Amino acid sequence: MRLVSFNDGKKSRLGTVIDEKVYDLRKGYCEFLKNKGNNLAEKIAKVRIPADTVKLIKGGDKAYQALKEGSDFIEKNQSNFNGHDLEKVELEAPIMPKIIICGGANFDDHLEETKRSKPTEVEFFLKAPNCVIGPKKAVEYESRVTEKYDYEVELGIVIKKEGRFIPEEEAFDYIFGYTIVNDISARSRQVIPWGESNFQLRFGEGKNYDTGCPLGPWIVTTDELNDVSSLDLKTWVSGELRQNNNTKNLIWKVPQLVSYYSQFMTLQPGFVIASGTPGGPALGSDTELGADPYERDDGVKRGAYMKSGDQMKLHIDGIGELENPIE
Amino acid sequence: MKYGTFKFNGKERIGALKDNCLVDVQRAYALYLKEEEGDGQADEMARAIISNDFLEFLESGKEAWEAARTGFEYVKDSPKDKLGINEEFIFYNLEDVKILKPYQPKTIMCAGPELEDPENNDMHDYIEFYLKSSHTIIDPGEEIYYEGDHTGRIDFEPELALVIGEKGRFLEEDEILDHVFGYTILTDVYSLDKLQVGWEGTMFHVRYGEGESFDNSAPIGPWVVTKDEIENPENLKLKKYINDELVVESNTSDLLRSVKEFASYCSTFFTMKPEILISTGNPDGVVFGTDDEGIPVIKDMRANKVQLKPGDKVRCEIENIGKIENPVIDYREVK
Repeated sequence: MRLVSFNDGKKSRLGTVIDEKVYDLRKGYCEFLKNKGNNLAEKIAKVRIPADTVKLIKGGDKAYQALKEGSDFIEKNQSNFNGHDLEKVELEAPIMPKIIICGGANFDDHLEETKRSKPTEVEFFLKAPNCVIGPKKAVEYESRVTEKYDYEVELGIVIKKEGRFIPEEEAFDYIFGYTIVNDISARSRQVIPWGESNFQLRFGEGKNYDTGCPLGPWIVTTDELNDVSSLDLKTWVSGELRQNNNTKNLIWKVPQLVSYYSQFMTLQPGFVIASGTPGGPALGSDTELGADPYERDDGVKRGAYMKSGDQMKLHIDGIGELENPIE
Repeated sequence: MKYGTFKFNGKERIGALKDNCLVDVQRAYALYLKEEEGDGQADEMARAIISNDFLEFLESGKEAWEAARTGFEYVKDSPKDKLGINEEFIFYNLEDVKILKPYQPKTIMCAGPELEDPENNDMHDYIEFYLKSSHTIIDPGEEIYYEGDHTGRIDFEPELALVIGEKGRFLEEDEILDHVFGYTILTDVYSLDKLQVGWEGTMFHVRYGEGESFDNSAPIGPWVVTKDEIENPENLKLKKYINDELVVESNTSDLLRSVKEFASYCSTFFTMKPEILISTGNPDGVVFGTDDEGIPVIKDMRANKVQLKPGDKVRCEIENIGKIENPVIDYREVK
């Protein structure tokens, strides 16, 4: 299922996308219950399908079952429901995560272009929930933060249930679904020259500011997207291909990431793990900040940092496309 | 005023400290509305204006804050058995309630370590900020985890934390306090072994993720002290105790990047708002410096190095703000 958060003109609601139309899931579940002769349908549907994705995920198996029943009912009785045109409806970020755990240094081509060697463990830094914006919303171009705004396509892993010290072989049991994270980076704040040839990375300043994390356009739940071991990830900036890689090249794969971060903190429903970006961000062409912009043979153009008015389009197979302007 | 969140009979409420009692400010305000203003909707109005959730209360703005103060002032000198408009309690003895974290911010921005040699360190003329995940926040009295080899040596520092009231971005140092609602204490628990410099060839970073964001590493509270009670946040004593013994005393005046300067810096990145808590660091923690070969490292140059172990009791005190105490337990014994 493609789970969206949308605004129906009055309120935020959870919806599902079927044939390019967005349907209100609470309504779907309510009708499903009514159809079974349940007199408490509205009250129950309001509890089972809240407006907030984290609350829904916390509802566990029962809430998830309601979600499925609602969605299936809509699918079978599509003509009885009022679908909103996907192109016209206002989509919000499909989840306001409690925290975004970011894995850096997770693709060889990104390490190579920034002349970094592979660390012994995946990087571990945080992006604050108040960075998150939804599809189509503008990332602010704010020169007081940086003039080196960069894009990063990443597979976002949405955590389903609480767990600590999760073994790799159980990791998939803890995943609710997947989304696209654009880990916007302020490179002049992130990469600070140190001495003659070294750089300090600052993940506080470099990764955290208002509108710094477009997320969406939806969460694809694991019943629809189960195998994430070979998904293409791509970024276009104003039509130009800038990133092009595949999740099969992740140095630390999805189960390893879930397991690693759970060593430090109890993962909770609604945490999002961003699994790291491949080569191709503008940083990879920034020799001032230590890059080695080697020529690529996969159609990826080396390019400069974004300017106000650019359009970002991020693609991940099996999920879709997340588009945001910067202005 | 000193605000706190407390639990009584399973329900959370906002109280303001008066002697050894907490005054339920919402119920106090309801009483004021009824008795002083003859408001026929006193109960509903008080509930609408003063939430029982402190983050919501902060977000409600000046109208709510002034109402809470009005209610508090109205009842504070009354006998402690004074009841509210529905014959409910207004005063709660501290020993009858459970004091919780004052609120649950969504984001904690923390000042990075002080610099080893700031004068001769022109490449690092400022303190960076890092994030601590807000899910690591715990109540006063709740357990800090010792996890053996897993987190390695853990330690803590008392830090003055700014509670934001009013929104604002790109705030100058001289206007930052206009946006502060009050102050609380954050006990910044960290791992001495994990909070180290990680290298990737030519690039390095301080491993704040591993070293600072583990479960139960951020006790906060017990009170949020309104800013009118603190004449100068840049001159407050910070005291660190282990098992009732003073380990070190420092002062916010010794911070390399002052309280106001750091908060102003934070506002470059995020719009300041109540969901953000700003923790301003400690002048006597570990420092960011270099080793003999000039390689960046996190250094422990403190005179009094103490290693926490299960059974210890940690306490942070900040002048005029209060004190927060938490026990250390062996995580492996509870989970």
